[in-house]
Amino acid sequence: MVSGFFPRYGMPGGSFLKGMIDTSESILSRFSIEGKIGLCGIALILIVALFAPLLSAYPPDKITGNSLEPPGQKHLLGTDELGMDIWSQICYGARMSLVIGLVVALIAGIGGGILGILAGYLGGMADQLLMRTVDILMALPSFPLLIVISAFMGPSIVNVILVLILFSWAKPARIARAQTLAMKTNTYIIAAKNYGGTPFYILRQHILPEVLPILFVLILGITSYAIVAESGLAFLGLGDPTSKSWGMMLYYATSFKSIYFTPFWQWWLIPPLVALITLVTSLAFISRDLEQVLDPRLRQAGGV
Amino acid sequence: MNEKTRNTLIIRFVITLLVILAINFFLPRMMPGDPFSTTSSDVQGEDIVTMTEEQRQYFISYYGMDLPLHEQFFRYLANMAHGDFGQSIYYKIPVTSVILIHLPWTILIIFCATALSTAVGIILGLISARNRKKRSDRVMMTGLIAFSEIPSFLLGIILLLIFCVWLKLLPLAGAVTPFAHYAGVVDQALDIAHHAFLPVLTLALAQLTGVYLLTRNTLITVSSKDYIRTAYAKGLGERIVWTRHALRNALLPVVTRTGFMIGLMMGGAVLVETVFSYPGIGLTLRSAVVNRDYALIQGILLVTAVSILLCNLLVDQVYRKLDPRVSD
Amino acid sequence: MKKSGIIIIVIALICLAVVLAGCTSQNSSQTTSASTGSAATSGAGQGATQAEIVHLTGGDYGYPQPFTIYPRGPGSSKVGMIFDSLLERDEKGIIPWLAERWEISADGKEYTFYLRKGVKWQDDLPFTANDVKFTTEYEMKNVPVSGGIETELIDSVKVIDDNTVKFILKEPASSFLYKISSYRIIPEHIYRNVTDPAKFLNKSAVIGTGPYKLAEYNKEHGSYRYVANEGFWGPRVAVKTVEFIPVSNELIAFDQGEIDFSSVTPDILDKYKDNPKYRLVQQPDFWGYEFYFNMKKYPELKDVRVRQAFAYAINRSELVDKIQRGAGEPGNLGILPDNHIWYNADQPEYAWDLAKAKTLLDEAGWKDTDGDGIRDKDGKKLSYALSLASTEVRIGELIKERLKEAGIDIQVKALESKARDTNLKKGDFELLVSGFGGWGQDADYLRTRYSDAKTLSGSNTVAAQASVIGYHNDAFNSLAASEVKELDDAKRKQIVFEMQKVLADDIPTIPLFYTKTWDVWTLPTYDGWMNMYDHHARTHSKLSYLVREGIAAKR
Repeated sequence: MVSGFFPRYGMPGGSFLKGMIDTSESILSRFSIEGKIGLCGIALILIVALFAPLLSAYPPDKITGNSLEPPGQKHLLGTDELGMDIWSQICYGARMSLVIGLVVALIAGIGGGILGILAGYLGGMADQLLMRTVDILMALPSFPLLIVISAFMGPSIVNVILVLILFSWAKPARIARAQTLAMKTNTYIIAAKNYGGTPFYILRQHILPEVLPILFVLILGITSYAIVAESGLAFLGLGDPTSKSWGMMLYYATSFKSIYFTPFWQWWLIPPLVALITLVTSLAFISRDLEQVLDPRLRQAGGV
Repeated sequence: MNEKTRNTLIIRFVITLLVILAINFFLPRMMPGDPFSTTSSDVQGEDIVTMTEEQRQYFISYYGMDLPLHEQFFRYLANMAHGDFGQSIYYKIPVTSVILIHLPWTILIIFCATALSTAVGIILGLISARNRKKRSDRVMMTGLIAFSEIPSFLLGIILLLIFCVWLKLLPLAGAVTPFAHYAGVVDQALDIAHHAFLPVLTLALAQLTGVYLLTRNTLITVSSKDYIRTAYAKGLGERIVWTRHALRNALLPVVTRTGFMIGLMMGGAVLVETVFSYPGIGLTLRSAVVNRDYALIQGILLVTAVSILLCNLLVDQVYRKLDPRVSD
Repeated sequence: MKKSGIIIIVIALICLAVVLAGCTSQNSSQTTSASTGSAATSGAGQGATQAEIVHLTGGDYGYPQPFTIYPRGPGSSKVGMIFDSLLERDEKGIIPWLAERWEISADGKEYTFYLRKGVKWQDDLPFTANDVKFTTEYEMKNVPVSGGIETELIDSVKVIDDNTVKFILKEPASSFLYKISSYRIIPEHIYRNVTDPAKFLNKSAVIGTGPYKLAEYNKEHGSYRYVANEGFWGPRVAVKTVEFIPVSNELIAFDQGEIDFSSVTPDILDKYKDNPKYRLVQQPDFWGYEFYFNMKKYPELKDVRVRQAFAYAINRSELVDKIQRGAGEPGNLGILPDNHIWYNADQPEYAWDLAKAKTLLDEAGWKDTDGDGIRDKDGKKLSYALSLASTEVRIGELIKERLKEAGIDIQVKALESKARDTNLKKGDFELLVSGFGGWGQDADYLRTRYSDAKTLSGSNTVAAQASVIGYHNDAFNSLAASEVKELDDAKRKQIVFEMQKVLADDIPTIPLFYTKTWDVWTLPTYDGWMNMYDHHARTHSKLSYLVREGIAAKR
């Protein structure tokens, strides 16, 4: 989960921008072994997601076998209780889980970030409004409220994404704002202003490069938060049951009453579990390494 | 802090509270359905009471739900001002009683889990930071990061299977042994601890890595600071430098973080309570939503929101002291 | 210290693997649809007929008096342990209880009950006809959560003498005796001073005439303890103490001996089969899923051939096999389940038959003219959204697959369960699935569900009505009108048989399947479990806890 810590960032430096535009090669070379493993994991999942139709012999929502067939020639990972192929569900589920994670993270991260920077830079009413909204959002118990909102909006994947975005944007906004505020008082920004730098120029040249790396790391964090939160909602029966996300697969497997008393868990419960853990662990490793690559001082941010 | 900033803070707090009160009131009522028109079971084989229209009307007016919505809202605000949270529609007792019955259990597991994860996280972080660049640090870090990513409800299920089903060491459900008559307070405390062990462990494990990483990273940053070098230069032993100087400075962000974690813990608690059938507030909220118990939903959301608000306010103050640059 | 964390994790994971492997190797057999048909039993011989204490699955269902239990779950059976009704139900039908006998006037409007003498409330005050009258009048002002009677049906209650009471109805209601059998009588001397019984939570609120007293109730943890009422007027109590305790997983708790009664899933039956320690019995099929057509909004569904095509195209046996793992019974189009006392076996079966479904749709003029696999007619496609609760999506997925083969397109629309209920009530849906119990109740429910003629009794229930879904059938309405007035059981049964036939031909809705859950209990603890003829849960029956003698004798 995303840590709630509000980090103290150091003074800015040119290395941020450089870090951002570094070729991927040089970023890679600075990754640790875990980071590389994480990248491999993500790459693997991406490939599976992209080529799901090629990798799986059956559509994920078609009954192509008997109930709960064990893994075999015909069904690589067996079938679920309806007779749908589990491997296909894993492949297509990768799409679903990635889409949920990325959509939530990108919208919440970038949107929240922009709002935060603007609020921080403009100050005044805009800032007040944003901060009060953030205050309220931070005070609302997110998960309990997720339950209420999910019941209110109905279980569809779009609603799940919307709800997750609603509770994810406050943090990037807050951090981006704080960062912007801290920088506004810096001598070189004041100097840039005095030299006639337009707000747009200052935002682009000085503030964005400073905030973007942090946002990027946050986005990775939100991605895995969203994926885990979706599976949590699914576990409570509040996900979109028609979607074939990994969280939903887990829900179906765990809500099968005798799952722990029968051998079915081996091919029904374990694959989505392993897939989900691989994905979020990979993300965690990558974001940790990115923090260090983008700015060694960011390490103190800790958390995800 | 001068009087003016204090006043703005209070005004801000009140505005936030009012908005939350309004959200709490209107959101549940916007959900489709009402508490009295159930026609289907939630789980197979469950009995439900299907009311006739007359019975439904009776209950609607009994709970004052036939009044115009704005009137209900002002009534609710007025009652809130008197500390009256209303009557739970499903549980048939005052909302405050329902909350008082269940909230302590949630607070208990959250508090214990926070304490446990903070303590263990700091110790592990300290060990890791001292062995920085060594293999043990790396293995520990990798292991913990990977481990922390297992969703808490799955971790709960795994622990339940190991300790309750296989080893039969711990009880399967509940917060106390049913109908137990205790020999004394110690006996009772032991029984509660026995039942709370797994929920606490699950919650703590989910939080552990965050604390651990924060401690470790802060310690590493701090250790390169001048005053640590000075301390070494003064000839102080490594142990003393680490515990007296480095750790003391690293503790503040950890404590700050803990405050912010409360909201997230509330979320984790819902899942963990579901797994262990622990009679906390999360499980109660879930059933309140399913049964459209408006009064109870309002009450629970308000209590949790206010506690989070207070926590955040507190953390904010601590944080302001830490970093005077961020002030508005 | 530093490595121990990782070591613990590794050990834990290994443990997990071992546990899970251990769990499953013992019973890795797969039972599928082998369990349809009559209730099979196993377990050697007779178990204990009396018990000191029995532990059952608990959970909080409210303070066990009629006004404070929760509307969901077994709350009303918990009230039934303490409070008695004038009549009770055994496995065959209605039996005398607080009333020794009764008389019905020729016009079916006056019911005279002759009450048992010497019955005492648990606080030793005598029970009289005044209590019955009081209950009715009190509950007109204060509606109980359950166990009440439709007050709009009753004109007045007259006390003839201390032991005789007469109910005068506004119009005849053939199911009145059935309703009386779950109508709990409350003590006048206690409740007359209570202005708001929904807030009446002290000890005297749970004083009834019944076989049990509430010894302990814990809302927080969901536990109840009932102890036998020494002064009970009726049959001897077989179980001295009944404890309901909270469990997280019923099966695991049963395995570990924490509870003495559980339901089991079909995949692990072997564990209990042919084991002298257990008895394994299937519940009657009184809980089921119904599939609704919205004929009001979609007039093309008024064509009986289209509805019949749905019935042929949906594979109801497959639903039982896959969703229930065999522990169920495909729905009867005559609505009443197989175990219902008045089930008419002589009705069309509608077994899965794709060819027949296609022919019917062809005949009705639905053909796939544009080759997209979906039938259409006059520019309208045979395509609908199927609303159901999130937990029922698997049912929807199977139905979608099968209907597609017949050229009917379905979009599964998952809703939160209460939202689905609201849509059903408002008629705001296209097709819909809903699951509920009570299929074993008095067959009068055929009338309240499928007749759109207005009557007093059950006319306004919140459940979906024929008028909501736009169903109208004159033949059925007239059968229903005579059923509600018929006081002779044999004649009424004949009418109900007819009603089932009409429904099976006309298909107002499709009962998808009924559940037939397996119950297992430990023989050495207690073996007295029985079913009421109208309900699937054995633990809900009062007679399950009594010695079967006198009025409670086995029939």
